[in-house]
Amino acid sequence: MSIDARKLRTAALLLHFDVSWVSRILDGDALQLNPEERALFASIDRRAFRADPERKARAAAAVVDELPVATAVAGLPQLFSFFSSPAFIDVIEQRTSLVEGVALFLGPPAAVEGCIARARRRRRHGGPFTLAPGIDGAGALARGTIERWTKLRTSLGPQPAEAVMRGARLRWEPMDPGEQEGVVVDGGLGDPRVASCTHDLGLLLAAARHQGHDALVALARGRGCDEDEAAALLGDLQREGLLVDVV
Amino acid sequence: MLSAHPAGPFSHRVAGLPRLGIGVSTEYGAARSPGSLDVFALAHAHPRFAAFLEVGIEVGKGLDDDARRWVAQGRPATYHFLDVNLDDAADELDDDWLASVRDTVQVLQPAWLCGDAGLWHFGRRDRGHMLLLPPILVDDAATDFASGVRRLAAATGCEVLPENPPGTVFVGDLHVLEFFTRVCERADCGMLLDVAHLAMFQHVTGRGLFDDIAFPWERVVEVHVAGTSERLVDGFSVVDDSHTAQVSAATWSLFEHVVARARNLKAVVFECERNRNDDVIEAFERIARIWSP
Repeated sequence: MSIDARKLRTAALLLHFDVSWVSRILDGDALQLNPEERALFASIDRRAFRADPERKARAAAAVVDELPVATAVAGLPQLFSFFSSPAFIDVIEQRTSLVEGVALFLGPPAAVEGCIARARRRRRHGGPFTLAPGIDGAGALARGTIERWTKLRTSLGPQPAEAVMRGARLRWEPMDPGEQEGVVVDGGLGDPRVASCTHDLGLLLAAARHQGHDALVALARGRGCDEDEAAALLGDLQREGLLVDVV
Repeated sequence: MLSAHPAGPFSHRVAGLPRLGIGVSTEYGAARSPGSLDVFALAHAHPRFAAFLEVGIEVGKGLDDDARRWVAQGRPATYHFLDVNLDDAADELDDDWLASVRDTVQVLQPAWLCGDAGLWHFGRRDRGHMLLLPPILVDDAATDFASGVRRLAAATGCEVLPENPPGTVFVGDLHVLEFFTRVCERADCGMLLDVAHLAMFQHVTGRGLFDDIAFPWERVVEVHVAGTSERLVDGFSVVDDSHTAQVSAATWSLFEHVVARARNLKAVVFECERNRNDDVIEAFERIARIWSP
């Protein structure tokens, strides 16, 4: 049996953020600590994990700043529940950003703000992928999502995060998933620009976060383009500054 | 130990490090907060207490105007990182972050880099984290942190001094000083020993003040002294790293113990950036009575 320092680090993080993890990790099977690892916690007074009760609120405040609409729809208690959910473990172990992880956790109302968060963080081109710095996109949004998000965002006023922290709530009625649209975000400079696009283009941009040129050609062909049309489409997107040329 | 340091062993390198004296710490915007320390006024009135400035840096924020003004006057500085998990190669070798660190080093010309060897953030580096949890005190983690110290030193060309972080919970089977002994020996580096953090460790782990206090003291290059605050959490006593002007008796005792043994000590910081100048002079004077640069 051996001690996994990474797993212990994840455990320590979870225990500092939400006391519900104490019984789930130290007495239950969350993270599946082995007896040797579990023994390292035996001498720790469990009250010590409650020493900084504001830790979760501080992290949540940074999230509200970027996901005001999604938080106003979900409510602060739902946002706080992220820190006691398996989605929090995913963020820690997969090294995604907290805001992007919470956006995924909060579902469709966070789709546009999640895109903006990703675009803001893509400062430079970093690897064999094709999405340009400062750009992000997504498909599979119910038609009308962007229009609705824009209205709700405006309704929160000039300081949306402050409005949410003061208790502002918004409603997000279910939308018809039959018709879909995409979103493209340019977050390279200043305030991000958000625009609707076709569902197919949104999917292509989302795929370009992690895939290179050839995979995107294959994706375009799978959506009905022939080889020449796919190449022309990628060329157009490159000229528009959405993709970079990586073979 | 990892492969040999290109500039030779620490025992030789330490001789080339400047003797900075007694200094103060700051971080972005700290000097502009109401009631905070005016480092320029301190340097004018008591130059021996502000012989250098330790600048706490998140590269996402950069250097504030006061830090830039300090270095523009040709005054000595050290670079205290606030945003890297040294045990995580992917975190440390982030090209954007490293480029910003190198740019900042160019401006600051620090005597060395230093900072808490703990967990500054989880997931990807992001704004608003400033988590700072202590490392997991097990042998494998010591190896990971030692590798991180070497990586950062190689990437910046600067000496890197890990610091023992504060905490209310310490997980692992090693005493914090045994853990950092392994880090320093494997990385062949010096140490920034925070005696207030060490007192917190002794307290929260139920040890007497000098229980298990052993370290290769010749590796201590810098020491931090700071005020702390004790409080109860459901009856459990914890000590906060509050950086008040009131330094505990435990911290003073450990400081005296370390100073008597650390023959390569080059710098002492009194972390008091959020206190008024008049309130910190007494502690500076006590530091100066214990340690003469």
